[in-house]
Amino acid sequence: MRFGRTSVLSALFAIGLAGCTVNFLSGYDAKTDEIVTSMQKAYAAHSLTVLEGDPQTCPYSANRGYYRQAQLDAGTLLMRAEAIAKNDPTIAQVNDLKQSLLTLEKLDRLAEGRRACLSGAELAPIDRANNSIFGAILKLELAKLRGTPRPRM
Amino acid sequence: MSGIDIGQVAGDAANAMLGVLGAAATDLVDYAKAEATKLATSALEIAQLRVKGIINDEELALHLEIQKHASRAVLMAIKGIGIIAAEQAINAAFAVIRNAVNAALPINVL
Repeated sequence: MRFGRTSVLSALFAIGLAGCTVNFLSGYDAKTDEIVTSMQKAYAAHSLTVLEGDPQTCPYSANRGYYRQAQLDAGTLLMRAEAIAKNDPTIAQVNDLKQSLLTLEKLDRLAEGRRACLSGAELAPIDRANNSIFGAILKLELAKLRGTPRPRM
Repeated sequence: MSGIDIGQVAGDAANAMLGVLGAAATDLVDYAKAEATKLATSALEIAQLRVKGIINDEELALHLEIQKHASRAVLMAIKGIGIIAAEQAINAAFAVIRNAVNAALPINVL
């Protein structure tokens, strides 16, 4: 009887723990890392163009292409994030990125109507916020590596 | 199984969990502080833009919306990293228990 109880306990331990590592969040996705990094680079280039203040290149009408591409990239990123299981925090972050870039587009359009281009003073808090979003997505994605080396891209 | 000191194993498992959680907490506190500083700086700059009349009320609302998105994205990073830390803490405790059980038995059952 005593042996039997021990066996049952051992079996329960084995079921509960054998090879058992829990996983509450998705794994690292290199494509997400790649798209976000590329979007951040495009954003930085766009921001620099606006900051330079050249009346030919800084107004909203000269930068529609950037906003269009940014929404396409954000859409691709969102679709990918949604296709990955246990990925809710990243999905929420990508939605925030998409909405933030849309809001920036509205501000840029309003600025063109009032005074041609967004100024450096206006861009400073926007850049800080958008870089925080890019950084937050990457920080979480890299945390998903769980100590394993980042694969080469 | 009689060779296992449950109290010792439980203590070791708890220490393994706390080690993982402590390291993650330190990282998250530093990150949250840095991001909160950025948010406060930005809020002040936006307020000054409105006070100086550089932006109007509509633009003020849009500026604040961008900051709200940034705050939420940062909080989601903190949430996600917290979930991963919890997961790693549980796995570290499992590893301690598994090693103790296997060491106490003639064969590795876990």
